[in-house]
Amino acid sequence: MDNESLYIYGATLMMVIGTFSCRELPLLLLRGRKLPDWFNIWLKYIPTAIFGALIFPDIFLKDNALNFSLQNYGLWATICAFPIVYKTQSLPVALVAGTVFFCIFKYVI
Amino acid sequence: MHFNKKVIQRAMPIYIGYLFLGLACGILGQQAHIAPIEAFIMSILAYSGSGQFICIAMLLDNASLFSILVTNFMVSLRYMFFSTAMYPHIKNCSLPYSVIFAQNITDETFAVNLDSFNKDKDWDPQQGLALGFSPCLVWASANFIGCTAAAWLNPPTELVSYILVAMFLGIWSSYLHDTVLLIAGLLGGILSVLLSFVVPFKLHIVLAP
Repeated sequence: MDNESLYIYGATLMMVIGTFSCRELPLLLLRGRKLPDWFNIWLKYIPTAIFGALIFPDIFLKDNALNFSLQNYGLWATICAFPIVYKTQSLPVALVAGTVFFCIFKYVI
Repeated sequence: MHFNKKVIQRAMPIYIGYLFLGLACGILGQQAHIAPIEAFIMSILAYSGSGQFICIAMLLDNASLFSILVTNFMVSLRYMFFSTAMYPHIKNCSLPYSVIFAQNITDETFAVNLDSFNKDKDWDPQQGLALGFSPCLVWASANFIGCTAAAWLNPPTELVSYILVAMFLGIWSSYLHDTVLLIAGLLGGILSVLLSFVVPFKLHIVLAP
C-alpha cells in the first residue's frame, strides 16, 4: 500500500474513532442519564465555530498570507453569496449561489 | 432489522438527499485522491456527511491525522445528544444491537426515527435500524459513483475546491439561528486565521472553537 492510501485509511480510522465514541458513549456510560447543562450550552456553539474556522482560512489565505486581491475569487464569491445563504439557510442555495458567483469572478470580471 | 414499505416511505426524503450529497462528496473526495472503494468504505464506517466533507478538506490541506481525529470528534459531539435522546427507545435491545443502532444515527435518521417512535405505536427498533442503515447504503453507493465519475469528468480543481467551501457555507448557515451564533462563528473564523500563522499541522481548525 502506498503512502497516499495509508494516509486516507489512517484518516478513515480517525473518523471511525471520532464518530464511534460520540455515538456510543451515551449508551455505554450514561445509560440514559441526561447530559450536563454546561455541555449542552457549549455544544450549541461548537458547530458554528468549527465551520467558521474551516471557511475563513480557505477564503482569506493564499500561500499562508492574507489575500484581498480580485484574483482571490473564492473570497469575493463568498462575500456576495453569504447574504443570500444566510437568509435562506439552504444547502442547495449555497452550492448554486457560491458556484455562480465564483464563475462570475473567475470568467467574467 | 426489519425492512418494509413503511421504512422506505419514511426514509425516501433521506435517500434523495443522501444520493445528491453523496455524489458531491465522491466528486470532492476524488480531488483528495480518494479511490472509489476507499470512499465507499469510509462512508460505511464513518457515515457522517459533514465529518466526511471536513475530512476531505483536511486531506487536501495535508493535515495531520491527529487534527483530523480531534476535528471529527468535535463535529460529532452532537451525536452524543442524539444517542442520549434515542436511548429510552432502544434500552431493551441487546448491547450489540444498541451499538449498531447508535452507529446508524445521523442528523436525518435521528429526526425521522424519533418522530416515528413518538407518533407510531407499531414502530420498533427493528424498523428503526432499517431506517438508519438503508440510507447508509445509498450514501456509500453515491460516494462510490461520484468518485468514479469524477475521475472521468476531470473537473477543474480550483472550482471543485471552492464548491467544498460553498458546501461548508451552506452547512454553516443552518446553525446560524441568531446573532450570537453568527458572532461565535465569525470569531471562530477570525481566530482560526490568526492561529494558522502560529500553529502547525492545521491544528488551528481544532483550537479556534
